[in-house]
Formats: sequence, C-alpha cells, structure tokens
Amino acid sequence: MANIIECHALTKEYLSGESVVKAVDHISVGFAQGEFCAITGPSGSGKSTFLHTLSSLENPTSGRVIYGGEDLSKYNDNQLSILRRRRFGFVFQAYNLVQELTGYENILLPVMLDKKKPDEKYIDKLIDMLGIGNRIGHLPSALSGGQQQRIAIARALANKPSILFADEPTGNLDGKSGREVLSLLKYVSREFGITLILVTHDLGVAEQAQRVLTLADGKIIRDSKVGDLA
Amino acid sequence: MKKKLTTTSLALGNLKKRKKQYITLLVGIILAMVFSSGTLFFISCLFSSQNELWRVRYGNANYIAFELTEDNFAKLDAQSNLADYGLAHVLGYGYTEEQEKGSVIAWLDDYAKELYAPVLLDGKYPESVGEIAAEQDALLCMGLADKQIGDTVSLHLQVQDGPDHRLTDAVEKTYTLVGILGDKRKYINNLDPEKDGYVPAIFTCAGAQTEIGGKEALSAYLAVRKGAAEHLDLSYMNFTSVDQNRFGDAFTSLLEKSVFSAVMSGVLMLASGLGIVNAFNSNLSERKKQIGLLRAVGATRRQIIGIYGRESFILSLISAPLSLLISYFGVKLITGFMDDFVFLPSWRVLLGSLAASLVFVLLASLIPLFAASRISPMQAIRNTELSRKMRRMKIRSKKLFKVPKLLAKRNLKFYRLRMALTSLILAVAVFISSYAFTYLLSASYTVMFDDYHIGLGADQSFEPYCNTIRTIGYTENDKQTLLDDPLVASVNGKVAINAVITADHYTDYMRLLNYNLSYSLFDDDFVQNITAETYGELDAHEAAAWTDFKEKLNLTNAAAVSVAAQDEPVVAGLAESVVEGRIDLDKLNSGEEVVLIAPKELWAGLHFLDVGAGYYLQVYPQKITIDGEELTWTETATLDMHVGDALNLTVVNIDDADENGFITENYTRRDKTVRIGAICYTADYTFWPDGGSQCGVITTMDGLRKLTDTYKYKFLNVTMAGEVTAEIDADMMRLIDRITSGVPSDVQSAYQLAQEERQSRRQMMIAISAIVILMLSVAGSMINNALTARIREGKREIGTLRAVGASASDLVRSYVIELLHMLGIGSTVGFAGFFALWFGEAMGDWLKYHFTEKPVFETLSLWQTLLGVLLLFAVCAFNLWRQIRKQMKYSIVENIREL
Repeated sequence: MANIIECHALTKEYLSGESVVKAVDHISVGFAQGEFCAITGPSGSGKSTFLHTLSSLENPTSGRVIYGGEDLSKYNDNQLSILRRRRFGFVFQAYNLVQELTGYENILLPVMLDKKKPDEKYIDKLIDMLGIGNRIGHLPSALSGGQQQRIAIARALANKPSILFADEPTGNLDGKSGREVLSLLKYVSREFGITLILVTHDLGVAEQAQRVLTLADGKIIRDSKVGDLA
Repeated sequence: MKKKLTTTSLALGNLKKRKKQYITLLVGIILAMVFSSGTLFFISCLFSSQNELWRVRYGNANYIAFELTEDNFAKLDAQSNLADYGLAHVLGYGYTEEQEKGSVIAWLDDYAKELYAPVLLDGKYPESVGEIAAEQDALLCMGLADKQIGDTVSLHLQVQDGPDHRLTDAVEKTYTLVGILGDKRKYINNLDPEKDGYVPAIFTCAGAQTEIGGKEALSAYLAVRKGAAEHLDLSYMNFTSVDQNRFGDAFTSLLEKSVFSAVMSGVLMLASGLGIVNAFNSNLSERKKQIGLLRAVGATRRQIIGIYGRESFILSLISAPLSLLISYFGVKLITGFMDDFVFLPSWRVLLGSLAASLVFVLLASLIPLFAASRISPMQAIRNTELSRKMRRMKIRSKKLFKVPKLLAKRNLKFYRLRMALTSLILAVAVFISSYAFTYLLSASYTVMFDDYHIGLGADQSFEPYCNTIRTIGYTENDKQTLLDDPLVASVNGKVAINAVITADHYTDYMRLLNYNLSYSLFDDDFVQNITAETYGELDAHEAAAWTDFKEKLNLTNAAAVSVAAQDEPVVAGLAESVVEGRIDLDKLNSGEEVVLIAPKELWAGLHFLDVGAGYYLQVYPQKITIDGEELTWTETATLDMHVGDALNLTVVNIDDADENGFITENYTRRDKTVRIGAICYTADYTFWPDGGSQCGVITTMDGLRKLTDTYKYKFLNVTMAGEVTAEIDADMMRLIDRITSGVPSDVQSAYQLAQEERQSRRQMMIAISAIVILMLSVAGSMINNALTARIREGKREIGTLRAVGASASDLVRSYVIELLHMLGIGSTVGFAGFFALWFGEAMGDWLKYHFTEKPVFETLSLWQTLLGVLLLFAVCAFNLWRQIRKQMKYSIVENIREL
C-alpha cells in the first residue's frame, strides 16, 4: 500500500548549552493510509520530537517530509496552516483546548478556521461516539481530564483528517479513562479510515497498534508489525 | 563556594536575566523621576524667583518710613519688632525745568543700602561728592534718558530743611552721572502713589552734606522680625509698606507661569506614575508563575514584596543620577526662556528631589507589588482565578462563528475589568482632548478699539460726590506730544469727575440715583443688612460723611452724578443714541448745555445673596433676573428731566478728609446752572472712565473747563495711522514711557496684547497637545501592555490555535478586534461625555436667559482628537502584529510547551 506520509533522513537538532543534541537522527520511514502506528521508546529517545517534525508542528533541521507526494519543506507558513486544519488532526497529552471557547466551539475550531459550514451530522455522530453530548456546552475549565481529552479528539477529527497525530494522549489520564480514550482513538481511526500515529511510553498501549516503531537516541531501533487490530 | 541566596541576590538575578524586559521599565522610571523631581525644581524655582524679583523691584525692606522727626525716630529706635533698619539721608528734591518732574536725592548708609538693594545696571555707585547714581525712571521723567555714564547732569535742587520741609528757592546743581540703577521707586510708587515725593531715586555718595541753609532729613528702610509684622506700629509716622501681598501683576504672572509649568510637570508625573504601575503590572503578571513557585516553596508575602521591591529600588537607584541631571538641566533650560525666573536650587532641594522621586517610583511600584504578593501559589501556577471566573460566567455555545471574532469577544468578556480600565483612560483622554481643542480654538481674542490705552494706575477719587485737589493725570502737553508723532492718527482724552445735582425738591428719580451709590452714601452696616422689611428706613440711614458734606455746602435735594468729558468727535458720536433734543457742540463747548445720560426708568431691587449674607441693593434700568432669580423690587421712578430743563451742578474739590471721612474746610466749590441739550437713555461704557455709572452728564473738554477747573486727563486713547509693527510698538512704548514717567499708569498696547494672546494661545495649544498626546500615549501603552501581556501569557493558546490550523492573520485579527473594541468603547464614552457637556452648557445658557436667545454652540474641533485616536490605533495594531510575528517565530511546540 502506498504511504500517505513519509520522511527521508529526518533530523532535528537542539542546542543544549554549547553542545548539539540530535533529538531525531536521520530517520526515514513511511506510514500507510489507515495504519495505526505506535511510536515508543524511553524518555529522551526523541519520539515526541519525531512526531512534531513529522506533523509539521516543528521544522526539521534537515530531511524531508512527504505528504500525499508533496514535499512539506516547500510549504510556507500559510500553506502549512491550511494543511493542518484540513488534513491533520492533533491530540496532545495536556489536551490543549482553547480555554475561552466551549467544548462545542473547540470541536468546530478547525472547521470554522477553514470558513466552512460544519457537517452537522458528522459532528453529532462524533459527539455521540465520544459520549460527550451533555458536556459540550461547558468551558474546558468545567470539564474533567477525560472529558477534555474526548473533546480534543473530536476537534482533531472534526475536519475529517487523513492523519491523526497523538502525543501521549493517555499520559494525563487515570487507567480507566486512558483505556477509554485509546479505544475511542482506535475506533474512530478504523471507522473513518484515518492513519493514527501515536506516541506513547506505555507498552500496554503500544501493543494495541498494528505497527510499533521503537526509538532510541533519535533513531529507529525497531520497526515491528504486531498484526491486525484486535 | 556558592553564593548565599538572599532576596537581594534573587532581585539582582532577575535584573540580570531580564535585561530586555527592564529597558522599557527603566525608561518609564526615568521619565517618572524626571517629572517628579522636575515638579519640585519648578516649585523651588518659584520661590527663588519670587524672592529675587521682590529684591530687585522693592529691595529687602518691609517698610519705608519717611522724613522722621526726632520724636518718631526715638520711637522707632525703641521698636523691638525690627530686625534691622538703615537710614537714607535726604538732601533735597532734584528736577529739571523742562519736565517739572524729578526725584528725592539722598545718600544711604550701609544698612540702608543692604535693605534697599540698589541694582546697578551700568557704572558704579557714587564714591565722592558731586557724583550721583540715578534710577532709569528718574532719568526718564526728568528728560535725561539719553545721559551716559560720565555725563554732567544739571538739576534744580529744592534743598531739604529738616523733616517735611524744603527751602522755597531752588538752587542750581551740577552732578556727574556715575551710575544707572534699576527702577525701584517706580514700583513702590505704583503701590502707593501718594509717596511719590518721598522715595529717593537719585543717590549721592555717603556723607554728602545739604546745601547751605538746609538740613538733611532722615528716612528709614525697615526690616521686620519674622512674624512680627502685625505687632509693628508705624501709625505715628509717614510710611509706606513694601508688602509681598501687594506684589501685583508681575508676581501673578510669575506664579501663573510657574504654576502652569508645575501643573504640567505634575500631570506628566501622574501619567508616568500610571505608566509605571502598568509596566510593573505587566511585568509581574508575566512572572506570575515565578511568584507562584516562590510562594509554593515557602516565600512569604513580605519576601515576595522584598524581592520585587528591591528590583524596583535598584532600578530607581540606577535611574536617579541620570533623571536628576535631565530634570535639573531641563528646568534650567525652560526657566532660561521665561522672563524673571531665577533657578537656584540648593543642596536641600536637590536631595529633596532625589528622595521624592525615589519615593514616588517605589510607591507607584508598590501597587502592583501588593497585588502580586496576594496571589496564592496555585493561582499563580495554574491561573485558577481565571478558571474560577470562567466557571461563574454563563456562556452559550455558538453553532457558527468566525474564530477571530469569537475569541476577541470571549477575551473581552473574561478580561473585562482590565479592558474597562484601559477604555476609561482612553475615554478621559478623548474627553479632555475634545474639550480642550473645541473651547481653546473657539475662544475669541480681546478686542481693543484703540491701539494704545493709557490710564491712571491708581484710583484718585475720594467719594462719588467730590474730587481731590491734588489730581494726577496727563496734561495737554502729554496729549500733544503723542499727536506730534507722525504715525499717530488721533489721541482721545477722557476726563471724569464727580459732581452733585440739586433741585427744588428731592424727586424719586434722584433718590434712586443715590440708592445706586448706596455703598458710599448710606450707612454701611445698614446697607449690608438691608432687607425688604427694613428697606423703608434707608433714607434715615445716610452716611455721616455725606450728610456732613451736604450740610457744610448747604446742599439740599442733592444727588451724586458723574461728569465725563471727551473730545468733540467722540461726543458727536453719541448722536445716534439721542432720544430727546440734539447735540450742539458749540453750546456744549460754551458750557451752556450738557448731554444728560439717564435711563427712562430706574428700578431699585434687592437681591438675596446667600443665607447669612443678606441682601444686595442695586438700581437697574429695567427689571432683570440674576441667575434665573427675580429680585425683590422695592421702588421705581420714571425720568422726569427733559431737554431745556435747567440742571444745577455743584463741583467740589477738597484737599483731604479727616479721619471720619468728613471734608475739611480747605475746599473749592463751583456752582453752575446748565441746560439739558440732549438726553440719551444709555451711553457706551467707554464714556464712563470709572465704569458702572448709569446716569451722568457728558460734555466736551472745553465744556468741562466752563463748569469747573481744568482737570488732567484720566485716560488717553491713541489710534495709529497705519498698522503697528514690532518696531513701531517699541517706539510708541518709549514715547508713552516718557509721558507716564512719574505718573502711576496702566498702559495697554493692542499690538502687545494680540502678541501676548497669540503666544499664550500657542503655549496653551502646545501644553494641551502635550497633555493629550501624553494621555493618549498612556492609554496606548496600557492597551499595548494589556494585549502584549495577554499574548505572552497566552503563548500556549496561540500554539494550540496554530496547531489546529490558525494562521498569523487569524491571530492578529482576533487581537485587532479586541483593540478596536477597547478604542471604540473608550472613544465613544469620551466623545459622548464631551457632547453631553457641550450640549448641556449651551442648553443651560439658553434656559438661564429664559429662551430669549438661541443656544450658543461652540464650533466643534474634533479632528485633532480623531487623528490622535487613529494614530493610536495604528501604533497599537502595528505593535500587535509585531508581537504575534514574534510568537510565530517560535515553533508550535515551543508555544505549547511555554518554553
């Protein structure tokens, strides 16, 4: 199957005092449409940085990211914004909801930024699926962590993206909520045929993915397929 | 070894690490210190200038006692309330034949010299016999203004012969002019014209003797002990007080200039103080987390205030030397441009300014510091206060929305207090700006009908029914001197005297004419407490002096009136106002006829002034209301004099009055019966040099001479042939100086008045523009700080929005909408307030005058304010764009992680 997104010799370096730290070191890898891939590794292995550079949240120091056959390094800031709002969805560990907007408004945010009329049926379906129908009129400060993360997932899916990037989405949640969120991610990914690239340090979470990339010192040390989703 | 961690080291660490952020704060602190120390410098400058100006104009003495007798010299010597005194040895009175005006000649002992403090403009003080130093005005009034140092001066000298006496025959004396002194007699003379012949303005060397046959008199310059002025009794001698309270126009103008500058500086100081509060606020709110962490690890409120207070103290100390230098040289430079200002700050003033500016900055920084120290650790770290506030608010989800607009709307809602405060500052700035520009630009210039007004500086009249013999004024020669100038087109002289009209019986009209002068003709206590109930007893409460005057002169059925004389063309100009008869200039000149100015009706009214202040009795030509209140009308009379009627006029000139105000036996009286040639109900106020009269007699100068002795002019009004330029004005003022030297005068030049008004308006414009710009800048900086702080605080939100696809323009738009809201609300409130006042003032005036006139609206001048607001918007929008661009330089992850 053709890759929807791939990277070639992707490198991200940071300055730490006077020394250069390679958080991502010449990684070349591709992800297929509808694939659920977990990226795992010890703390400081560069998994989050890899996700951020792959998803254009951060510019790589060198290397290329190809999405749908297009080299993203040639995109300007505005084009990248449009790409993020239309084709990518993001779920963060700290939910990152806009505090001044209600749950519903947060969900609609990418659609409204794109100046489109929302597909109400689809949005309602998302809300039902995520079980947040009775909480979406509230501001994030009035919601629990699990509820906030569900809204963040709904927001990530609102524009029917082709890839969902999730950075430790269960990291801030208790075991039960974490399991629920992960199930939801898997479900929506399968339901809508979305590629799910998820960073986690929890092996239990990684085990549920079709493919697991293990990183150490900014390099992929293992790329294993664990079979179809259960 | 590691350094010990103290609040000071923490404060210093903060300063080192946040250099960039502190630059703005430092500039604000320097400005605040400059303005606060500048204000003190201005105030100190006012005092030093006042003392210096006083010393230059009047010397250091509090009193001058003239030509003391042995008896009162002994009494003076025994005075314990005197701090010091010095003696002037009066040798006589010197004058020139041509001018007939001169000065007392004297020599001063060392103490007197110190107290009189002569200001040497040129040459030296006399050191040997035959040398003199003279004040500029003394030389001018003797026609010797062109004399140079070393020139010979010939004077007639009336030799002094003891106190209050001079030998009749003048001797010729020749002196060498060795010094020219600044004027002092002129200023003292203006305070007390009666002492004109006593204050010396020509000085000889110490030890000079009187001429043969004469005997010197002693005058004393007195300095009173501090606080003892009230206890000093000088009533037994001839003296004049050189009191600071009688400082006159120069001091007022000095005060106005200085107060204006101090107020300006004060306004700037307050504004910069607000700026500091705001800058510290933003600075601290950006560092809430740091404060929270310090609190979480156990820092007390006091320690938090200590850490951040030390920061501001260190910043103030760093700024202090530069600030003091700027304000010192700034004030020196500004006062250098202002006449009469002397800037001599003492060490005490310098240290005081330093302390005041340090305290001011610390106080301004304490407000945000106290607020910051009250934050709880969790509140600081997680901004729980905002979360709580958000939870309390009712928010309804939008189904469709524009992201920038909705974000702006929500932010305005959640941060409404901060936004409201900012809008309020802007509203005040807009209000002041609109008001100042509208009213300042619509204020009209003073209109003078002539180019120069020359008038007597002091009121010489005694009572409204008689005149003093020793009348000062301007002669025909003075008038001719002015007319001889080829640039002068005409000179109009005015004379006004007091007279009494008598009749066969005391008519109601005459009684009301006298009521008009109730303050002089009736008993003071009675008039001041008069009511509608006691009004009927008024006639029985005539002032004793008025009754005595009428008895002494055997005048019955008398009423006091003014008699004014003007040049023929001016009197002829009255023709338009004549309601009966006609103006025949020949008959006026011959003294056969006069023009009577008398309203058709007179109404006596009592106006209740205030609770406890009683009633005020006044006579009006018709019923009027004062402040919308009807007066209590007690009496009315209709004019019962007609053209052709005989008018008995009595003019009395007295030498002096006794202590009760009764005239002494030394008076002259002229009785004349004239015919009323024409009647006017009213005449322009310019006919009444003393102002206020409603009824009187007008004639020509020749006509007046037929009625009474020749009087000197009280006013000379000069009209120039062409346009007056600066050079012509300077020449004219020199000419007028010659005429007015020795005569206390008020001189007004239309050219100078226009220049002064133009300059004053220009200064006002600059000042108001500065205040408006400053207020708009403060509002702008508050808006900028508020939005910038929110951008910095909201990094994470910016990152989130960027992650979900918001572009830079979406973000800028959201903040610009917030900015527009704040500017819009502030401007609308400011303009609305101004319009309410503007409309209210006009309608108030309209209502006050009982709908008789249309409301007067001042022409609006709002474009300056609108321009200011637009500029403010442009600057703030640019800054927002810059701030957002700055955030966009970070990656989204950096935004989100708040690195």
